[in-house]
Parts: sequence; structure tokens; C-alpha cells
Amino acid sequence: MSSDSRRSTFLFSAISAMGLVLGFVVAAFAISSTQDDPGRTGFQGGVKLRGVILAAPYPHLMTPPSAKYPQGRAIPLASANGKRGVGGQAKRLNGQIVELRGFIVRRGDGEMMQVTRRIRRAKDQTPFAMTKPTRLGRWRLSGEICDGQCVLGIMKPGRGLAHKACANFCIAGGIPPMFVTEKPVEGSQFMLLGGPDGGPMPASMYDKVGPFITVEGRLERRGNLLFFFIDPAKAEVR
Amino acid sequence: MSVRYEPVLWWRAKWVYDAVLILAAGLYVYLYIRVAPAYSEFTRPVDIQILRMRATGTCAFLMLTAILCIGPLARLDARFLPLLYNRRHFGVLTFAMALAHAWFVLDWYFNYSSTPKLIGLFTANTSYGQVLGFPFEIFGVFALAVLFILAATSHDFWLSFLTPPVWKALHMLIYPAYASVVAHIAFGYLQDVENGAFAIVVVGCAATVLTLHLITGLREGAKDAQGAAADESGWVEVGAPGDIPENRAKIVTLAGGERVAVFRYDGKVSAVTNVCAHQNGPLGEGKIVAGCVTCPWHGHQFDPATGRAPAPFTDKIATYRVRLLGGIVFVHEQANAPGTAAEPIILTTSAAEGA
Ligand code: FES
Repeated sequence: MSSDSRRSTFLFSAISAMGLVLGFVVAAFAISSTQDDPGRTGFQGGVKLRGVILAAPYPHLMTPPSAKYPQGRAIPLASANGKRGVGGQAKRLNGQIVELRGFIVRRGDGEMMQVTRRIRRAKDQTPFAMTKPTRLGRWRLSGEICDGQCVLGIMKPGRGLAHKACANFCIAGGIPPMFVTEKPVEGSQFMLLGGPDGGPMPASMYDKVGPFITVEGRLERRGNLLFFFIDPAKAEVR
Repeated sequence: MSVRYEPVLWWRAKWVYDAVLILAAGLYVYLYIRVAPAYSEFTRPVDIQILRMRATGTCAFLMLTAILCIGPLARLDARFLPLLYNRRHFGVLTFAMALAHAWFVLDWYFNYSSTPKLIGLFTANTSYGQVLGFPFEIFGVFALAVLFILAATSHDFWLSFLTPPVWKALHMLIYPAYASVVAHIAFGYLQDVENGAFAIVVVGCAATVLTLHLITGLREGAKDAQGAAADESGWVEVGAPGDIPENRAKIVTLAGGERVAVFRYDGKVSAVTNVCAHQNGPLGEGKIVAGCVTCPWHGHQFDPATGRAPAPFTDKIATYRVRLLGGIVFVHEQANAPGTAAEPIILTTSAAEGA
């Protein structure tokens, strides 16, 4: 090879190499800085709560009415230990007064407690007055079925189709699924899901976790939380 | 079959090539995870685990795009050829990046459960019947498996063990793999993001790969279509010896579509197949080095008059008969068996100048 053509080959290769590196640098900025904002989430550690534990449709705690929560506070429960629920403990203690320790994850009006210790039955079982559930009738709502803990802030972001398998995994593991509506309904955007029989969400709904869907069901308020008992036959991906 | 597993001859700066690749990929991942997020005003930062998956996944996609552009670029402009020589290292590095992506995904989305990660990967989402919510992970799994097979068989040992046609066919799997990666992104991440920037990048990359291949394909198709017709006795006109650059070849496409590389060197003219015995590289785009046709891809060498690799190597390529008639070089359309010596045309000074 002549020294001239050698030089031009070298120059060309050097320019291509620089182009490649530069292209990757620009791409890194372009792609990374245009990711979507995972949104505001909150975390509160070292929480102790006392109330009645209920197993259906998913484990949740109902606290006595207070100034802040005049109807009582209903908070869905999951285990702080990975993608597991606390269904077994909730069934065993269903309807009894318990003491819980853990942390709370929060996004907008949605919240969930991650229980860090074994749930203990409280010594003092003096019953307290719980507000009656309010039936809000049948609704047809649009939104997304999410696993409660990821969407509320355990993962940022923790919803959508890229996250679908993880959400299925969590829900199958017993983490309460939540329906996140497009617009607030009766003041809330997050509602705890259940099946038409008042039990957990039917497994046939796993196909509908992640995408934006429209679904019909019975809406109920228990304490401060909305419960949406959906009808799998009336669900469609939009 | 060749026993030469270290064939790079012209391009000794292999390590420079690798260093540039590692620099580009490393810089990409670092900037993506550590630097760029600071420039976006997020209310809460994206999880580091998710940043890792996204950085390695998008990087592997860009690397694969670059790999697939090198081939057609080198055909369009020979100055890109040096990028081609070491493309296999590029491929292996891309596999490593894709593997890191898969690992980060498994370690976050499929971790912390009583179900083992790999089982979870295939069982957590089984919505195969729908477009939205389709288990797009499976597209990624396919592409990763292909990249693994290609990386594992990238060494020349496999090339000679599998034989070049089989090896080449196997490595063509890179195209379905790329399509699969695009589907993986389109059915997964792109369904979630509201910001369209990455969608534009993906479409741009896929369109570039497609366009480059279409252009080169059409060009070569057009060249082959005007394949030179032979006279009744099978001789095909090549042109004056002066039309062939010294130590280089003129490529002639025969009516059947095969290409012949007609070399002028050392006052002689010889013709061999354009297809390298090593990995089907375009011999006619190479040149004569130390008296041998030297393949531009990995530097395998062949004696132009006999089609044989210099000792101790044993590869052979097909040769063609040549003759000079009225100052014009002709090649016979019938190929000789690989390794058959064919009498070169001996040029007189005036013939060499194409006079
Ligand atoms: S040397 Fe590898 S294809 Fe020719």
C-alpha cells in the first residue's frame, strides 16, 4: 500500500471511530434525558398501626375512625419481604384486631403498607365502631390494573407494559392489585381490586394487567378506600 | 481446510478497534446512568436498577444497528472495510451488553419471589394472544440466544468445522435477531413511554439498516443483471489490461451471476473466483500482497495463478482460464476446479499499458 493511501485509510478509520464514539455519547444523552418522569411518590418508615385485619378481597387493615380519617382508614397490606402478600396471616387473623409494623408507600391518594414483622394479634380486642361500606353502584371505568406496591413507589417506574410481567408476578405472589383510573372517581384515582364474588381478582384478569383497559364492576367505599369488584367478562383492552 | 486461525494481515490494530468499541459502549452506559439523568427534572429519580436495564438494553440495540450498517457501508465505500475486519469482536461485545441487560431485568423484575427468576421469565406473563401486553420478553430471549450462538461460533475454528456456507447461513440469523430486538422494544418499552425521543431513535436505526441493505442489494442486483455475455465458445470480455489497476482486480459478473476477479500483477493477468474460501469475502476488492491475492476481510491469501493458499495452508479457490486477444483480456465462463493452475496472460509492456 502506498503511504498516501495508508494515510487516507488511517484518517478515514480515525474519523469513523470518532464518529462512533460521538454518536454513542449523543445517543446516551438523547435517550437517557428523555425518559419519562416516574412521578412523585412518598415513603414513610417506622410505621405502627392498629386495627382490624380483613382478608378479602386482599389483605387490608381497617383503623378506627379518627379526626384525620372520619370514616376510618383502610390500607392494603403486602409483605415488605419481596413480591409476597400477607394473605396467609390475614386469613388466619381475619376480623381480629392486630398490630402492624412496617412502612408505607404512597402515590397521590393511593397507599399501601409493607409489613416488616410478623402480624400479631393485639392483646386488647375491644371492638370499635367501623363505618358501614357505602355501595356506589355499577361503574364502567378506564385505567390500568397495577400491582399495588410497584405502582405506589416500590419501583420507579412500576407500571405499564414493560413492567407487566413483574406486575403479574407480584399479584400472583399475593400483592394486592390496584386499579389506577384515568381521572379521579369519587375523589380517588387508586382503588383496591376484587373479583365479582368479593374475593380476589380472578386469574383470567392477568392478561389485562398493564395495558390501558375499560372494565365494569361494582364500586364500594370501605373506610377511606374505594374497592372495585370487577367483572372479567366486561373487561376490554382499549 | 485452513488451519490459520489468526489471519488478520493488513489491519494489525485490532486492539485499537476493540478499545474504541469498549470506549463507545462504556461511555454510553456511564453517561446514560450517571450523567444524563441529572439534566432531566424528575420529581423522583428512576430506579438505578431500571436505569441499568435501559442503558444496557438500548446500548446493545445501538451496537447491533452499527454492526449491521458496517457490511453495506463497506460495499458502498471501500474505506469502511477496516471496520469490517473485526466485526466479530463487535458482535461478541454486543452479546455481552445484551446479556448484562437480561441479567439486570431478571435481577429486578423477576427477583424477590419464591419462583426462580428464569421460570418467572417464561411463566409470569402468558398473554400470547394479544398485542398490548404481549410477553415481549420472548423476542429479547430469541435475540439473546442468537447472539450467544453467533458469539460462541465466532472463532475460525467453528468456521472450518461447520464449513463456510453453513457458518455463513448460521450467522445470517443476525437479521431475524435484529428484527426480534426491534419487536422487543416496540412491544415493550415503547408502549410505555410518553416521550417519543426513543421511538424516533428506534425507527431511525431500523430504517437506516433497511435502506443501506436495499441500496447495496439493488446496486449489486443491477450489476449482476448486466452480467457479461459470453461468445459461443464461452469467452467473456473483460477489457484492456490497462483497465485493471495494478495489483488490483476488475470484477466481472458472468451471465449466471457468479463473479470473477481478474487481477493484474507483476506483468501478468489471472482470474479467480470473487468468493473467498474463508468466509465468502469479496476477493476482488482485495489486492495483491507479496504475490498473493489477499482477501480484504480477514487477509487469507491465494496464489492468483493456482488458486492455492501459500504453504503451509491448504485452502483452495476456483480459477478461470484467461486469454489475450487483440489487446483485450477474456475470461472463460467455465470455472476450473478449486486449486487448478491456469496459465496467466503474460503482458508485454505495451499490452500492460492497454495500448
Ligand atoms: S479472509 Fe475471511 S473471508 Fe476472506
